[in-house]
Amino acid sequence: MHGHVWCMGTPYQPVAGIQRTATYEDPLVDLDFDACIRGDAAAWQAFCDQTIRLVAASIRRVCPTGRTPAGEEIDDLVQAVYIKILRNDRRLLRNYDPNRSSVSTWITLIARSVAIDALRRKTLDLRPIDEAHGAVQGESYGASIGPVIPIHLLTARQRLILTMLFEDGMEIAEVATALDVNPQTIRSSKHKAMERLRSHFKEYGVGDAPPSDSVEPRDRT
Amino acid sequence: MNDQEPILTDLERQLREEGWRWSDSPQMPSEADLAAWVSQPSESDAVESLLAADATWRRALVDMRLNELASETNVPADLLEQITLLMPEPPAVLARIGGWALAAAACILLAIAGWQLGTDIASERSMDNPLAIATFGLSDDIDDGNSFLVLSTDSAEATR
Repeated sequence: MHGHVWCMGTPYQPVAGIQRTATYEDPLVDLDFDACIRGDAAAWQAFCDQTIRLVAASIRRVCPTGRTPAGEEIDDLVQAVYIKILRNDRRLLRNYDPNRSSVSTWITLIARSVAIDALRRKTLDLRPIDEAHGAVQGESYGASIGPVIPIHLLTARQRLILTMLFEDGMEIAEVATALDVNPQTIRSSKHKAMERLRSHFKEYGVGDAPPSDSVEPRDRT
Repeated sequence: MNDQEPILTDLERQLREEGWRWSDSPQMPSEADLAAWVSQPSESDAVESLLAADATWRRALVDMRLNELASETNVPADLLEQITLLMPEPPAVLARIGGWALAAAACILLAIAGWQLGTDIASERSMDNPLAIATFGLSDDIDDGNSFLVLSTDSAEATR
Protein backbone atom coordinates (compact mmCIF):
# COMPACT_ATOMS: atom_id res chain seq x y z
CA MET A 1 0.00 0.00 0.00
CA HIS A 2 1.29 3.46 -0.81
CA GLY A 3 2.02 6.39 1.53
CA HIS A 4 -1.32 7.94 2.19
CA VAL A 5 -3.49 4.91 1.53
CA TRP A 6 -2.37 3.10 4.67
CA CYS A 7 -4.50 5.58 6.58
CA MET A 8 -7.60 4.70 4.59
CA GLY A 9 -7.73 1.01 5.27
CA THR A 10 -9.14 -1.46 2.81
CA PRO A 11 -11.66 0.14 0.47
CA TYR A 12 -15.33 -0.42 1.23
CA GLN A 13 -14.67 -2.20 4.47
CA PRO A 14 -15.13 -0.77 7.96
CA VAL A 15 -12.04 0.69 9.55
CA ALA A 16 -11.26 -1.16 12.75
CA GLY A 17 -12.12 0.66 15.94
CA ILE A 18 -14.64 3.08 14.48
CA GLN A 19 -18.03 2.73 16.08
CA ARG A 20 -21.00 2.87 13.73
CA THR A 21 -24.55 3.87 14.37
CA ALA A 22 -27.23 1.57 13.06
CA THR A 23 -29.20 4.41 11.48
CA TYR A 24 -27.96 7.95 11.09
CA GLU A 25 -30.31 10.84 11.56
CA ASP A 26 -29.04 14.35 11.17
CA PRO A 27 -29.25 16.01 14.60
CA LEU A 28 -27.74 19.17 13.22
CA VAL A 29 -31.02 20.73 12.16
CA ASP A 30 -31.20 23.68 14.53
CA LEU A 31 -27.93 25.37 13.64
CA ASP A 32 -28.35 29.05 12.88
CA PHE A 33 -26.17 29.60 9.82
CA ASP A 34 -27.34 33.17 9.35
CA ALA A 35 -26.30 34.12 12.86
CA CYS A 36 -22.91 32.52 12.34
CA ILE A 37 -22.46 34.47 9.12
CA ARG A 38 -23.29 37.68 10.99
CA GLY A 39 -20.63 36.83 13.53
CA ASP A 40 -22.89 35.96 16.43
CA ALA A 41 -20.64 34.44 19.07
CA ALA A 42 -23.35 32.38 20.73
CA ALA A 43 -24.48 30.89 17.42
CA TRP A 44 -20.89 30.06 16.49
CA GLN A 45 -20.29 28.41 19.82
CA ALA A 46 -23.41 26.28 19.35
CA PHE A 47 -22.28 25.42 15.82
CA CYS A 48 -18.87 24.31 17.05
CA ASP A 49 -20.26 22.41 19.99
CA GLN A 50 -22.66 20.41 17.82
CA THR A 51 -20.31 19.66 14.95
CA ILE A 52 -16.87 19.18 16.47
CA ARG A 53 -17.32 15.54 17.42
CA LEU A 54 -18.48 14.59 13.93
CA VAL A 55 -15.60 16.55 12.42
CA ALA A 56 -13.08 14.77 14.62
CA ALA A 57 -14.59 11.38 13.81
CA SER A 58 -14.54 12.09 10.07
CA ILE A 59 -10.89 13.08 10.20
CA ARG A 60 -10.02 10.07 12.31
CA ARG A 61 -11.67 7.86 9.71
CA VAL A 62 -9.17 9.14 7.14
CA CYS A 63 -6.29 9.04 9.62
CA PRO A 64 -7.03 6.29 12.12
CA THR A 65 -3.59 6.55 13.68
CA GLY A 66 -4.31 10.12 14.74
CA ARG A 67 -1.43 11.62 12.84
CA THR A 68 -0.65 12.43 9.23
CA PRO A 69 2.61 11.46 7.51
CA ALA A 70 3.68 15.10 7.87
CA GLY A 71 3.27 14.94 11.65
CA GLU A 72 0.03 16.87 11.99
CA GLU A 73 -2.29 15.69 14.70
CA ILE A 74 -6.04 15.30 14.67
CA ASP A 75 -6.55 18.42 16.78
CA ASP A 76 -4.63 20.50 14.25
CA LEU A 77 -6.78 19.21 11.44
CA VAL A 78 -9.99 19.82 13.39
CA GLN A 79 -8.94 23.42 13.90
CA ALA A 80 -8.06 23.67 10.19
CA VAL A 81 -11.62 22.62 9.32
CA TYR A 82 -13.16 25.52 11.21
CA ILE A 83 -10.60 27.96 9.89
CA LYS A 84 -11.60 26.85 6.42
CA ILE A 85 -15.27 27.37 7.26
CA LEU A 86 -14.57 30.94 8.41
CA ARG A 87 -12.19 31.78 5.57
CA ASN A 88 -13.10 34.31 2.86
CA ASP A 89 -15.86 35.97 4.87
CA ARG A 90 -17.44 32.66 5.87
CA ARG A 91 -17.82 31.61 2.24
CA LEU A 92 -18.64 27.98 3.01
CA LEU A 93 -21.35 28.97 5.45
CA ARG A 94 -22.85 31.37 2.94
CA ASN A 95 -22.83 28.79 0.15
CA TYR A 96 -24.35 25.94 2.14
CA ASP A 97 -27.65 24.81 0.59
CA PRO A 98 -29.85 22.66 2.82
CA ASN A 99 -31.74 21.44 -0.26
CA ARG A 100 -28.65 19.71 -1.62
CA SER A 101 -27.30 17.93 1.43
CA SER A 102 -27.63 17.60 5.17
CA VAL A 103 -25.40 19.58 7.48
CA SER A 104 -23.77 16.36 8.64
CA THR A 105 -22.83 15.33 5.11
CA TRP A 106 -21.67 18.83 4.26
CA ILE A 107 -19.39 19.20 7.23
CA THR A 108 -18.13 15.63 6.88
CA LEU A 109 -17.07 16.50 3.32
CA ILE A 110 -15.19 19.55 4.53
CA ALA A 111 -13.48 17.53 7.23
CA ARG A 112 -12.45 14.82 4.78
CA SER A 113 -11.24 17.44 2.33
CA VAL A 114 -8.95 18.92 4.98
CA ALA A 115 -7.75 15.47 5.99
CA ILE A 116 -7.02 14.39 2.43
CA ASP A 117 -5.10 17.58 1.73
CA ALA A 118 -3.11 17.02 4.92
CA LEU A 119 -2.30 13.45 3.93
CA ARG A 120 -0.97 14.66 0.60
CA ARG A 121 1.17 17.45 2.02
CA LYS A 122 4.00 15.02 2.72
CA THR A 123 4.26 13.90 -0.89
CA LEU A 124 3.46 17.27 -2.40
CA ASP A 125 6.42 18.78 -0.57
CA LEU A 126 8.70 16.64 -2.68
CA ARG A 127 7.28 17.91 -5.92
CA PRO A 128 7.65 21.13 -7.87
CA ILE A 129 5.11 23.76 -6.84
CA ASP A 130 2.04 23.52 -8.99
CA GLU A 131 0.71 26.97 -9.84
CA ALA A 132 -2.44 25.69 -11.54
CA HIS A 133 -5.46 26.84 -9.61
CA GLY A 134 -8.14 24.25 -8.98
CA ALA A 135 -6.60 21.44 -10.98
CA VAL A 136 -6.53 18.13 -9.21
CA GLN A 137 -3.15 16.54 -8.94
CA GLY A 138 -3.85 12.93 -8.31
CA GLU A 139 -1.06 11.14 -6.58
CA SER A 140 1.16 9.01 -8.72
CA TYR A 141 3.48 6.35 -7.42
CA GLY A 142 4.92 5.46 -10.74
CA ALA A 143 3.27 6.35 -14.02
CA SER A 144 0.92 3.77 -15.45
CA ILE A 145 2.33 1.84 -18.38
CA GLY A 146 -1.08 1.61 -19.96
CA PRO A 147 -2.53 3.66 -22.79
CA VAL A 148 -3.58 7.28 -22.66
CA ILE A 149 -7.33 7.71 -22.97
CA PRO A 150 -8.68 11.10 -24.09
CA ILE A 151 -10.91 12.42 -21.39
CA HIS A 152 -13.52 13.56 -23.88
CA LEU A 153 -13.90 10.07 -25.32
CA LEU A 154 -16.08 8.83 -22.47
CA THR A 155 -18.64 10.53 -20.29
CA ALA A 156 -17.76 11.18 -16.66
CA ARG A 157 -20.10 8.39 -15.61
CA GLN A 158 -18.48 5.93 -18.03
CA ARG A 159 -15.02 6.86 -16.81
CA LEU A 160 -16.07 6.36 -13.23
CA ILE A 161 -17.69 3.00 -13.93
CA LEU A 162 -14.64 1.67 -15.74
CA THR A 163 -12.39 2.92 -12.97
CA MET A 164 -14.44 1.26 -10.29
CA LEU A 165 -14.64 -2.02 -12.24
CA PHE A 166 -11.08 -2.27 -13.55
CA GLU A 167 -8.94 -0.35 -11.06
CA ASP A 168 -10.82 -0.93 -7.82
CA GLY A 169 -11.87 -4.45 -8.76
CA MET A 170 -15.47 -3.92 -7.78
CA GLU A 171 -18.26 -6.18 -8.92
CA ILE A 172 -21.12 -4.96 -11.09
CA ALA A 173 -23.51 -5.14 -8.14
CA GLU A 174 -21.19 -3.14 -5.90
CA VAL A 175 -20.78 -0.41 -8.48
CA ALA A 176 -24.54 -0.31 -8.99
CA THR A 177 -25.08 0.07 -5.27
CA ALA A 178 -22.46 2.77 -4.99
CA LEU A 179 -23.94 4.75 -7.86
CA ASP A 180 -27.51 3.95 -6.88
CA VAL A 181 -28.49 2.56 -10.28
CA ASN A 182 -29.64 -0.74 -11.67
CA PRO A 183 -26.87 -3.33 -12.34
CA GLN A 184 -28.02 -3.57 -15.93
CA THR A 185 -27.31 0.14 -16.30
CA ILE A 186 -23.74 -0.53 -15.21
CA ARG A 187 -23.36 -3.33 -17.74
CA SER A 188 -24.78 -1.16 -20.48
CA SER A 189 -22.51 1.77 -19.64
CA LYS A 190 -19.49 -0.51 -19.50
CA HIS A 191 -20.37 -2.02 -22.87
CA LYS A 192 -20.79 1.38 -24.52
CA ALA A 193 -17.57 2.66 -23.01
CA MET A 194 -15.61 -0.36 -24.19
CA GLU A 195 -17.04 0.00 -27.68
CA ARG A 196 -15.86 3.60 -27.80
CA LEU A 197 -12.44 2.62 -26.56
CA ARG A 198 -12.11 -0.16 -29.10
CA SER A 199 -13.02 2.21 -31.92
CA HIS A 200 -10.55 4.75 -30.64
CA PHE A 201 -7.66 2.33 -30.24
CA LYS A 202 -8.46 0.70 -33.54
CA GLU A 203 -7.89 4.07 -35.15
CA TYR A 204 -4.95 5.27 -33.09
CA GLY A 205 -3.50 2.02 -31.79
CA VAL A 206 -3.33 0.95 -28.18
CA GLY A 207 -0.59 2.75 -26.31
CA ASP A 208 -0.26 5.57 -28.81
CA ALA A 209 -0.93 9.00 -27.35
CA PRO A 210 -3.77 10.77 -29.16
CA PRO A 211 -3.35 14.35 -30.31
CA SER A 212 -3.47 15.99 -26.89
CA ASP A 213 -1.50 18.78 -25.20
CA SER A 214 -1.32 17.35 -21.71
CA VAL A 215 -0.85 13.93 -20.30
CA GLU A 216 -1.16 13.56 -16.57
CA PRO A 217 -0.10 10.54 -14.53
CA ARG A 218 -3.19 9.22 -12.86
CA ASP A 219 -3.79 8.14 -9.32
CA ARG A 220 -3.15 4.46 -9.25
CA THR A 221 -3.43 3.96 -5.50
CA MET B 1 -22.53 -11.61 -19.10
CA ASN B 2 -21.84 -13.74 -16.01
CA ASP B 3 -20.40 -11.58 -13.27
CA GLN B 4 -18.82 -14.56 -11.54
CA GLU B 5 -16.68 -15.59 -14.52
CA PRO B 6 -16.35 -12.58 -16.80
CA ILE B 7 -15.17 -13.13 -20.29
CA LEU B 8 -12.42 -10.58 -20.66
CA THR B 9 -11.58 -9.11 -24.00
CA ASP B 10 -8.01 -8.35 -24.86
CA LEU B 11 -8.57 -4.64 -24.33
CA GLU B 12 -10.29 -5.16 -21.00
CA ARG B 13 -7.55 -7.47 -19.83
CA GLN B 14 -4.93 -4.95 -20.81
CA LEU B 15 -6.70 -2.12 -19.02
CA ARG B 16 -7.09 -4.21 -15.89
CA GLU B 17 -3.50 -5.36 -15.86
CA GLU B 18 -1.64 -2.33 -17.12
CA GLY B 19 -3.97 0.47 -16.16
CA TRP B 20 -4.32 3.63 -18.20
CA ARG B 21 -3.91 7.38 -18.02
CA TRP B 22 -6.49 10.05 -18.60
CA SER B 23 -5.38 12.80 -20.94
CA ASP B 24 -6.43 15.66 -18.63
CA SER B 25 -6.83 16.39 -14.94
CA PRO B 26 -10.29 17.38 -13.73
CA GLN B 27 -11.05 20.55 -11.82
CA MET B 28 -11.83 20.22 -8.14
CA PRO B 29 -15.58 20.62 -7.53
CA SER B 30 -16.89 22.48 -4.52
CA GLU B 31 -17.62 20.85 -1.18
CA ALA B 32 -21.30 21.57 -1.80
CA ASP B 33 -21.21 19.59 -5.06
CA LEU B 34 -19.44 16.72 -3.37
CA ALA B 35 -21.93 16.69 -0.51
CA ALA B 36 -24.84 16.81 -2.95
CA TRP B 37 -23.46 13.80 -4.84
CA VAL B 38 -23.19 11.83 -1.62
CA SER B 39 -26.67 12.81 -0.50
CA GLN B 40 -28.68 12.36 -3.68
CA PRO B 41 -28.64 9.76 -6.46
CA SER B 42 -27.77 12.09 -9.33
CA GLU B 43 -25.06 12.38 -11.91
CA SER B 44 -22.58 15.18 -11.65
CA ASP B 45 -19.94 15.45 -14.34
CA ALA B 46 -17.67 17.53 -12.16
CA VAL B 47 -17.81 15.17 -9.21
CA GLU B 48 -17.62 11.96 -11.22
CA SER B 49 -14.70 13.28 -13.27
CA LEU B 50 -12.85 13.82 -10.01
CA LEU B 51 -13.78 10.40 -8.71
CA ALA B 52 -12.66 8.71 -11.93
CA ALA B 53 -9.25 10.37 -11.63
CA ASP B 54 -8.61 10.41 -7.87
CA ALA B 55 -8.70 7.14 -5.94
CA THR B 56 -8.61 8.82 -2.53
CA TRP B 57 -11.64 10.94 -3.19
CA ARG B 58 -13.40 8.05 -4.91
CA ARG B 59 -13.01 5.82 -1.89
CA ALA B 60 -13.99 8.58 0.52
CA LEU B 61 -17.19 9.49 -1.28
CA VAL B 62 -18.24 5.93 -2.05
CA ASP B 63 -17.59 5.07 1.57
CA MET B 64 -19.86 7.91 2.64
CA ARG B 65 -22.55 6.72 0.24
CA LEU B 66 -22.37 3.07 1.16
CA ASN B 67 -21.82 3.41 4.87
CA GLU B 68 -23.10 5.61 7.62
CA LEU B 69 -21.17 8.73 8.45
CA ALA B 70 -18.63 8.25 11.20
CA SER B 71 -20.18 8.31 14.61
CA GLU B 72 -19.16 11.10 16.91
CA THR B 73 -16.07 10.90 19.04
CA ASN B 74 -15.00 12.78 22.13
CA VAL B 75 -12.78 15.82 21.81
CA PRO B 76 -10.76 17.74 24.42
CA ALA B 77 -12.56 20.67 26.01
CA ASP B 78 -9.69 23.04 25.31
CA LEU B 79 -9.90 22.22 21.59
CA LEU B 80 -13.57 23.25 21.55
CA GLU B 81 -12.66 26.45 23.36
CA GLN B 82 -9.91 27.27 20.86
CA ILE B 83 -12.26 26.76 17.95
CA THR B 84 -14.94 28.90 19.54
CA LEU B 85 -12.45 31.74 19.77
CA LEU B 86 -11.76 31.60 16.04
CA MET B 87 -14.81 33.74 15.33
CA PRO B 88 -13.75 37.43 15.38
CA GLU B 89 -15.72 39.57 17.79
CA PRO B 90 -18.11 42.06 16.14
CA PRO B 91 -17.98 45.73 17.29
CA ALA B 92 -19.98 46.59 20.42
CA VAL B 93 -23.62 47.50 19.92
CA LEU B 94 -23.21 50.89 21.55
CA ALA B 95 -20.23 51.59 19.37
CA ARG B 96 -22.23 50.74 16.25
CA ILE B 97 -25.16 52.92 17.34
CA GLY B 98 -22.84 55.74 18.35
CA GLY B 99 -21.17 55.68 15.01
CA TRP B 100 -24.40 55.99 13.10
CA ALA B 101 -25.66 58.72 15.41
CA LEU B 102 -22.46 60.66 14.99
CA ALA B 103 -22.70 60.42 11.24
CA ALA B 104 -26.33 61.56 11.26
CA ALA B 105 -25.53 64.49 13.54
CA ALA B 106 -22.67 65.55 11.31
CA CYS B 107 -24.95 65.51 8.27
CA ILE B 108 -27.53 67.64 10.06
CA LEU B 109 -24.93 70.14 11.21
CA LEU B 110 -23.52 70.41 7.72
CA ALA B 111 -26.97 71.00 6.32
CA ILE B 112 -27.70 73.75 8.85
CA ALA B 113 -24.34 75.36 8.32
CA GLY B 114 -24.78 75.27 4.59
CA TRP B 115 -28.21 76.85 4.77
CA GLN B 116 -27.05 79.55 7.14
CA LEU B 117 -24.03 80.35 5.02
CA GLY B 118 -26.11 80.55 1.92
CA THR B 119 -28.60 82.88 3.61
CA ASP B 120 -25.89 85.21 4.90
CA ILE B 121 -24.17 85.44 1.54
CA ALA B 122 -27.40 86.25 -0.24
CA SER B 123 -28.26 89.00 2.24
CA GLU B 124 -24.81 90.55 1.96
CA ARG B 125 -24.95 90.58 -1.80
CA SER B 126 -28.32 92.22 -1.86
CA MET B 127 -27.06 94.97 0.49
CA ASP B 128 -24.09 95.64 -1.76
CA ASN B 129 -26.19 95.96 -4.87
CA PRO B 130 -27.05 99.67 -5.49
CA LEU B 131 -29.58 98.78 -8.13
CA ALA B 132 -31.40 96.58 -5.70
CA ILE B 133 -31.31 99.31 -3.10
CA ALA B 134 -32.61 101.89 -5.48
CA THR B 135 -35.31 99.66 -6.89
CA PHE B 136 -36.57 98.15 -3.70
CA GLY B 137 -35.61 100.91 -1.29
CA LEU B 138 -33.39 98.63 0.73
CA SER B 139 -31.08 100.18 3.36
CA ASP B 140 -29.15 99.25 6.44
CA ASP B 141 -31.98 100.58 8.59
CA ILE B 142 -34.35 98.00 7.38
CA ASP B 143 -34.49 94.96 9.61
CA ASP B 144 -37.35 93.30 7.82
CA GLY B 145 -36.31 91.60 4.65
CA ASN B 146 -39.85 91.82 3.31
CA SER B 147 -40.31 95.56 3.87
CA PHE B 148 -39.73 96.39 0.22
CA LEU B 149 -43.07 94.80 -0.41
CA VAL B 150 -44.81 97.29 1.85
CA LEU B 151 -46.54 100.02 -0.02
CA SER B 152 -45.05 103.36 0.99
CA THR B 153 -47.14 106.45 0.56
CA ASP B 154 -44.00 108.51 0.17
CA SER B 155 -42.73 106.50 -2.68
CA ALA B 156 -42.87 108.05 -6.06
CA GLU B 157 -44.32 104.96 -7.50
CA ALA B 158 -47.22 105.07 -5.09
CA THR B 159 -48.52 108.18 -6.82
CA ARG B 160 -48.62 106.63 -10.29
